[in-house]
Amino acid sequence: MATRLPAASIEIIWQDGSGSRGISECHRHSSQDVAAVNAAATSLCSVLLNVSDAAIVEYITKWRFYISDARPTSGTTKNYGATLIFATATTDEYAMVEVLGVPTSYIVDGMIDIANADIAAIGANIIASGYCNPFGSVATTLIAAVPTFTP
Amino acid sequence: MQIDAALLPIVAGNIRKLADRYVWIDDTSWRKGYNAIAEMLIMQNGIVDSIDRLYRLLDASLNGTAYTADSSTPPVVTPAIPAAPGAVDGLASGLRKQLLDSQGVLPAGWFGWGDAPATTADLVRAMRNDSQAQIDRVKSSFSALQTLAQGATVFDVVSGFITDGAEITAEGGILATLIVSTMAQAAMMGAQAGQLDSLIAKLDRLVTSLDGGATPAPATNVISELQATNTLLG
Repeated sequence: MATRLPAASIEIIWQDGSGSRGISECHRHSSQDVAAVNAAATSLCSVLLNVSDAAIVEYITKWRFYISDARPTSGTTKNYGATLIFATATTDEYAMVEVLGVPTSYIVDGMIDIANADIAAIGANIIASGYCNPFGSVATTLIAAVPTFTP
Repeated sequence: MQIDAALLPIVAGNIRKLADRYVWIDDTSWRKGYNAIAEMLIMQNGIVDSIDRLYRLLDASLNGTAYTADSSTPPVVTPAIPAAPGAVDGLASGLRKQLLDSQGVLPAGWFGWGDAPATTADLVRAMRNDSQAQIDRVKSSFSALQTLAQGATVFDVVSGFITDGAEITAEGGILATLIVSTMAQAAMMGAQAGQLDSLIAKLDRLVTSLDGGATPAPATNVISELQATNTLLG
């Protein structure tokens, strides 16, 4: 993990009477923890609503980190990917993690082989680190990985 | 219609897009959609896995290939499915081997076939007896039988005919039974012919005692002669 930008961004999602949505953005210093940023964002939203007919449906806080700006000199493109699907601690709920630029060599019989050591390592990392789906259900078992191609 | 497997990643990639938040009107719908899409992608994986399972089932049933799976999740099944099925000769079991075994290989028989797995065509050909050489051989044997008088000699000819390269206990056994039965009937007919000869000889003696064996025989008969004698005596 490399440089951390000095500011976290707060994306505020607006929605008007037709259902259309728009985004406005403001920033907080990245040294602040989540609770402080959330409290500030909630407070800001409450006063913003006083001057708008639109509703604020959600806000998204982002901390940006740079890992590397290196690019491979050859290889596949981001269009080729793999979606790893995990069972979660919640019944009938799943967690999906995408990997982009996956070479076709990982495809066996039309599918990504989850027994492959590289794929299994990703699965083990996700599970051991406690990643969850967008709804808070923690991933427990890597059950499938499908190759994806998005033109 | 055959579905190109290369389409699967494209389908999966586009389905995956539907799991993004902006597609859904609210979080509740998003949650349902997200998990439904995950299940659809898993199902795609399941389709491929099901095809593999069907291949292994057919391969095990037809070719006798023995598959094993370890205890990992998902299990690793060996041997791996080959890019193209290999030769099946020499397999220890399987339906194809059983079918091949059921054909059986006979020694060269008196119909002139054998040393290869029997086919339905072989069976039909055996019943049709459509080989000219075979027909000539049978005719020749029957002709020889007609000219022979002694039963023992007949049996020798028939026995030679049967056992000439034949599987005696199988093919020859059946025909031998039929031939012995026929020979028994012939013997009975011979005995009846002897009895007829004896009866004819006795009849000849009776006729001779009546008409003295005159040639030509008298024009009258015994009854009329007796009546004439009775008249003279009267």
